Amino acid sequence: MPSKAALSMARASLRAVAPERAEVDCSHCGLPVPAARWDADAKAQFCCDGCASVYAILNASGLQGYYQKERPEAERRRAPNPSQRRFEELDDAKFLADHCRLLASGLSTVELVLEGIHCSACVWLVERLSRVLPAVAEARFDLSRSVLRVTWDRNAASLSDVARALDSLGYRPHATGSPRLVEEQRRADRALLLRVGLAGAAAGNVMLMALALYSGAFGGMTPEYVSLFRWGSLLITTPTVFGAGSVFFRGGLAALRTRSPHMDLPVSIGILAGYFGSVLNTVRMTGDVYFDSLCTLIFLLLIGRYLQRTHHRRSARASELLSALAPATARLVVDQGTREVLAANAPLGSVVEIRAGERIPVDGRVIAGSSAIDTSLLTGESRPEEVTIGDRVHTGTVNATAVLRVRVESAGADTRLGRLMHAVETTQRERAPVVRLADRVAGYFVLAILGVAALTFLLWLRIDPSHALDHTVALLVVTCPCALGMATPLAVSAALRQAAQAGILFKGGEFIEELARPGRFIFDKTGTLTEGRLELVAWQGDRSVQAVLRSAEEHSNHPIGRAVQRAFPANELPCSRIRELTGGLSADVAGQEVLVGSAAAVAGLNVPVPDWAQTLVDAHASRAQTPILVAVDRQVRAVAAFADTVRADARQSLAKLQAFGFTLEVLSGDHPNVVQGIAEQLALPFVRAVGGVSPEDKLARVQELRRAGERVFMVGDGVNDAAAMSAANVGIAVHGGAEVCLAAADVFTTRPGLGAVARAAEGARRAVRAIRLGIALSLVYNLVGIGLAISGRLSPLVAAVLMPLSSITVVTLALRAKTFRGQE
Amino acid sequence: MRPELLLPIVGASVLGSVHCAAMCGPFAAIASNPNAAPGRRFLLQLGYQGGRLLSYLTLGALAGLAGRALDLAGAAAGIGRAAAGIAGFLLLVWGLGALLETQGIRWLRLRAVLPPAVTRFLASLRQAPSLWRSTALGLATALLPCGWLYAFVLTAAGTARPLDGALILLALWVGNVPMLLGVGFFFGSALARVRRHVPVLSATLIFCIGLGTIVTRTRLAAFAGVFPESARASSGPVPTPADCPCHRKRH
Amino acid sequence: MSILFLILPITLVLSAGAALTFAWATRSGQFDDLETPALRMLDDETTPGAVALPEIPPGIGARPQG
Repeated sequence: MPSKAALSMARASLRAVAPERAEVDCSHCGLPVPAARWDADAKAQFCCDGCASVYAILNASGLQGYYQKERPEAERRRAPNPSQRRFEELDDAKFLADHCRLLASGLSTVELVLEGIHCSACVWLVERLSRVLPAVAEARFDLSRSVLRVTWDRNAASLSDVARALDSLGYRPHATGSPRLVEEQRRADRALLLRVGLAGAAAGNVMLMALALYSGAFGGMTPEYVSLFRWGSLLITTPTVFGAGSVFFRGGLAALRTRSPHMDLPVSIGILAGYFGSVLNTVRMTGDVYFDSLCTLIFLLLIGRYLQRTHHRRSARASELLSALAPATARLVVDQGTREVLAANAPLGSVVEIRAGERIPVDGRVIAGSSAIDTSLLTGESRPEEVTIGDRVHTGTVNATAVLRVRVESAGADTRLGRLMHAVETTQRERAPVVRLADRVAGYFVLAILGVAALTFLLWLRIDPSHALDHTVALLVVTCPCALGMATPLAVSAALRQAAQAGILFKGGEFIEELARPGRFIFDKTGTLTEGRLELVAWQGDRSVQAVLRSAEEHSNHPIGRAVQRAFPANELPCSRIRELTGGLSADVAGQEVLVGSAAAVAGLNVPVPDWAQTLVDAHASRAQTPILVAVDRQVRAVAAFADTVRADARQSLAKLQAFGFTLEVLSGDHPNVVQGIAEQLALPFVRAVGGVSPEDKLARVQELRRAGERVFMVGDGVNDAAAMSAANVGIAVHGGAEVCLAAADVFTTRPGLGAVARAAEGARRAVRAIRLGIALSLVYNLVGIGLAISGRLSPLVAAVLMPLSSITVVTLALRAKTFRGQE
Repeated sequence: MRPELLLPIVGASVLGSVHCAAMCGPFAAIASNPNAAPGRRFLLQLGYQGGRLLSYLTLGALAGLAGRALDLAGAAAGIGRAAAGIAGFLLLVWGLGALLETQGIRWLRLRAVLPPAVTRFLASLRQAPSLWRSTALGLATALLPCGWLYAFVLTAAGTARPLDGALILLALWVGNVPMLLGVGFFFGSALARVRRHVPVLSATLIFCIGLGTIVTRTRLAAFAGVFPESARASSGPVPTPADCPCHRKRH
Repeated sequence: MSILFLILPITLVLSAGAALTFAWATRSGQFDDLETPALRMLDDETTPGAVALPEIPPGIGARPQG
């Protein structure tokens, strides 16, 4: 037994290690270690021998990594990274009039989309905004929309104050889309939910009465009670059929009027036939009633519809959020300094200041400064363009290196970008809706059912006229496509959900069905097939200058500077006197004068370019790579080449698409040589691989192909693809793309790389297979039901069993289908 | 065995399962493969929990048998319900010792360590095919030197009937399953405040179970007033030498 | 069994009442957001001083509406 002295020494030393707590936690399970088991010498403390044994086992099997992952309470909070924005555009009177509502209490409410909410602690913090900013009375967060509703006193703080407060907490706020649209959507959603709830209540109650009726059918029930229950069911069913079920009638009528097939038509026929037949039998006091089947049918179908809408909303919101991220402000130069305004409102002829790293908000001419512009998002060119006084710049491009002042020539809808966006909208509106598979089946289905019903009626008229109507009604009720109407929406919802989990967001189920059909895939190059940014691909010369180069490019925003930052690790070399020049930069690193730039820039500063370097420069240029010379102390020491590299998974993914039977094409705004090189690198049979294509040309090409009857799938990431994407059958935006692309696309991926596109195609095929299977199964059930009805063996009980059975089978199949999950 | 006697056992098991989840959590995690499909995951979990259940029941039955043997021996010596008395007493001592440990006094110097061969075998399971691995891990859980488990085994021995012993271990398993299935993680932060007190809590529970075993099962006349039912046999009559099968054969 | 003639109408009235309540709840937006309240449940409602809220830079919210 350890002596008292030894024990107290152990305790003291442990307290020295963890002074605030006189407690030690078990190294394995984390629970407190009883004081008697503290071992001052041991590295690990255990609360019991069991923990010690398991610890030993884990170590012996090499699973120590378990301990790193164990603690769920330790939430790593990202350090807030507030932008320097002042959010003054939110105080614009028109904006406030559109987006804020004045309440009776005199306070105003507004909805702001927030970035950066990723856990319940964030929700908690953001809802405590009133404690941080007293002018805020209430803040309520909606996680599914990522929207914060703020109620605040406009006299105590402006909206930009609120926005800045949120920004300083680490959650960047943005304006929501049109509030009126949101309100309409909300109203429509609520109406549907109301229908579902009421139909459910009705179904439950009617089923209770039906249970009594079935029991009575077996055991005998006096007629007045039968009548009672029937009338009760009728009372409940009537508002359900004409209230909640009216959506189906409207759909059926529309289908009749436009002569286009829709699932609502057979559903309406079944419901109405069943209802009126049952009412007749209730009054006549003979025959069968089907009120319970009808109510359950309506309930289940409405659920299917509700799920469909929820999923549609969710994916639409995701794209809404992303498109709200585009900063649409411009920094106007005024006498007292600068003022932020909405980019679309920048007056023509005024001067706008654009700092390095910012996106250019207007079309105009440079009046001060010279810099490099990254035009890849707009034109697809991967090499930055040098601009100086007098040169034209466009909205949507990024100012890479230095501050520019631009005189506004066109803003908002008149810019080249604005006109492209308009083209996107027009082509989207002109799109013909995709006819879904289930709806096509519906057309034939209706005709078949009506034919069979007529036959049944005539048949029974000859055999047993008193029952003819009953059997026909039974037939119409049991063949009502409950399973068919539910299977497809559910299969599609399940597929949408799985796709979302795999990082592929579809804006609607119809695009899944489209993607499963054969067609032509057109790829953009920059940012889609390639990484979209310059990377270091070759280094010839002295390797020791890499560290110096890295230090010089430490703070550069230029695409080449960033490529250098990614290529080499950061170091501690002191760097000073960085000067950006045309085509390069110079700096003093650790006492050495470093010059980085193109051959022209280097020669222009009177640094001799040796022959070996010149040869290399020429070789790289011929391969459409960007060569950069690195000179230290006025001596060229190395040549570095930069190019836009092909994505690692590009070849594999495209080969997969080809194996599915799609034809492949590449359209790019970049130099034709570059595009040729990429096509050769991928070594796949492209039907066409063309460079130098403008955004307008891409749109034209897609429209031409569609007019010729081809199905076109457009994959892109930049603004230069957006118009073409909206004109294609399915537009796919890959991760990292421009926000406007996300708004124009029908599918977008949230994980980098092209693997997601191949996965989307494969998942779509599997989904369509699952849908077909569901349809086939429900048809089988219908056949069984028809057989029973024609032979006169169908009773309400049989119908009540058959219909849920078919629904359950089909639903289970739909939900369990592995469409986007389980791909390797 | 009356079901209401099992309920407190389940309750105690749930209370103590915080530590069970903490200690055996890694096993449960290794047993199931988070990357597998839900169907497969369910199967693996089933293997693990099933293996655990099997080993627990076996332990409980064996303990009950041992208790019965003790009872017979005790009966031969003229002491009734020896198993319950001994088990209860051991639990009392244990609980007390554990309580004292939390205060810094180590009086029972028992160190139970897994033999290295077993450790190696269990470590080697990492390479084994997953279903076998999860089942083996489940089975092996009973081998771990876990005081909590042994307390329940002692209680099972105290019942002196294999069936009741197995039932007690079943109650332990039932109380464990929620935590080990990760349901407990949802309450993890809520239980954080309780965590601190788990050692004292579990020691007290063991002490109380020991006390309860003695009071309710030993049918000592002194407790007849407190628990009248204990005067009646709650699990069968006291075995006499006439019941002993080997004795019976002789006669 | 003739009580059924009383019970059934009463049941219908009760169901109608429940349906009306549901309608009111839906219309007043109770079911709009089903995800966030689940997270709010995890909050500890502590006293204002107990948890340190982050500081926001000075000057925000100080000036009156201009």
